[in-house]
Amino acid sequence: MRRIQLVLAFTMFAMAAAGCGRGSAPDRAATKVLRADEVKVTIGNPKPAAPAADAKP
Amino acid sequence: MMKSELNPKPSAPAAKFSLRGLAGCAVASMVFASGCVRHDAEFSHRKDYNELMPEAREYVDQTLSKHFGRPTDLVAWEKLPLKLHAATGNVDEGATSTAMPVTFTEENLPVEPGYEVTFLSGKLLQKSEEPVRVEAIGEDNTVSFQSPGLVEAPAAGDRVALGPGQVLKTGRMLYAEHCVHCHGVSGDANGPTAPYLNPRPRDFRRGIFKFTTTQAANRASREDLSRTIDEGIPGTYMPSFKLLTPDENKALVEYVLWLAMRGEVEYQLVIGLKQDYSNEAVADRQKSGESLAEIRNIFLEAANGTELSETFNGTVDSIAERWVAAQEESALIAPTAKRSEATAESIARGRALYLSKDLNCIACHGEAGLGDGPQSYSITKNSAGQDNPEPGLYDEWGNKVIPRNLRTGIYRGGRRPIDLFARLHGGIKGTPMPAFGGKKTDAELWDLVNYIMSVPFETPRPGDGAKEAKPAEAPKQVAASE
Repeated sequence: MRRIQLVLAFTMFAMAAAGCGRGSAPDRAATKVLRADEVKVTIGNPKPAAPAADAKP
Repeated sequence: MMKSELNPKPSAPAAKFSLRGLAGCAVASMVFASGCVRHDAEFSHRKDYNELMPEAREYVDQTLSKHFGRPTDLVAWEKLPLKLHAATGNVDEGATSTAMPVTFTEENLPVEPGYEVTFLSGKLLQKSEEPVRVEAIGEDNTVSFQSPGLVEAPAAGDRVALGPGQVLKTGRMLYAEHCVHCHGVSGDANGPTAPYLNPRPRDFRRGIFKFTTTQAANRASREDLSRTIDEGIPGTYMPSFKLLTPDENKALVEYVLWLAMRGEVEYQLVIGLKQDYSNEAVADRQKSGESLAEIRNIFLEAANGTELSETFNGTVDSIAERWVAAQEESALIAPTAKRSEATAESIARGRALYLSKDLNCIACHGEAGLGDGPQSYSITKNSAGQDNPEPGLYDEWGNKVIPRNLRTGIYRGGRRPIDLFARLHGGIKGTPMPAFGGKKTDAELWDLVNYIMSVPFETPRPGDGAKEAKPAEAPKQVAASE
């Protein structure tokens, strides 16, 4: 019994170390459908102000 | 009795303990195996990236992370020529802290109440910590804000974004739902389904898209990507996404373009650094007398100073310019001649062109148009002069290419005459299919289109040769209506 426990513990450790669910296919993290609150967008460096001539009437 | 002797009572608690431990281990194993542990998706790197010295890899990571973010924390970088926000505009005279009249310069998605308001210039530039949100937009384009409004009134001429990054965000969510399993998180054509597909999905990271209506030297236009999403690519696993609304299609196009630009930036960065800072280059430099510490210092000085950032800015500018140029009307393939009627004479002229040494179509497509020309099995080197894995034709992504079998009537870039004209005029980008625009007149290219469209209706006869072959009569299905 002790041996089985050891084997299971080792397997669990190996799976955790290998990042199960990350490197496996299909990659659950990559293929996860995202909710709106799970995607953040921040604004990068702004462009200089557009000339007024570009403005649409 | 015998049983109780074999299993004496004192060992029972030990057995219970072991079972509990066993169950615990099993549950924990299942938790790990089922992926319950949260891992956020990450952008992958090119293979070349792993050949760089560690400091150079870190520089690439930091630069990409700063300007593009991560898959669930995107950066809408204003320098990129993309439609990032739901709407942008300039503040007009008469703005207060609770409402402002706006002249919109770009309206990409319908602005909904509750969308954030972000100033892209002026004194309110990314100033507020608590986002100000849209309450409503009046008919005169006056945007009113939800309470408590702005900290102060914006000045006339300030640039403002409503729903900042909303297009990118919508595109990202749609991409995760519909595209990622083939095209991959990074657009590297390495999604979980990709290994099972032939042809392979498109790798966006070189900024090259095969089927475009732009001239040979240009990138794809937004309309090209939109059409591909809408129609799919016949004869491949790329399906039609006609069920997406026009706004969703638009958001997806912008996100694909964003991935393409991110991939191009990474490619240029890595290729540039590889010359002097790959592990191989560093080893060579060490052989010629430089120490590893010296090389590291030189690199860090360049990275922390202005040298690498100037190169990077120049790279991004040139990438952005190419994409801007591709959206210009001058970049589009516009036939200067109307399509000639698909008469027997036009088809005969087209066949003569097809067989001519000048265009040399038969080298790949074969005399009968079966896609079995000699080059399809005899070319041993690719366009970069490297050995092919096996003789044949290869595209820019290293995938083997089988020339189109013209007898099937399935054309990946579309079956309309204008689609075939665009293929002949601009070629198929990233593949050995060359561009004939400029080499032949548009009228000649139309003859070739007429011939290609007649091929599926030909009846091949044994012994038909180049000289003896006669063009098929124009079938009604392809007759030009003018």
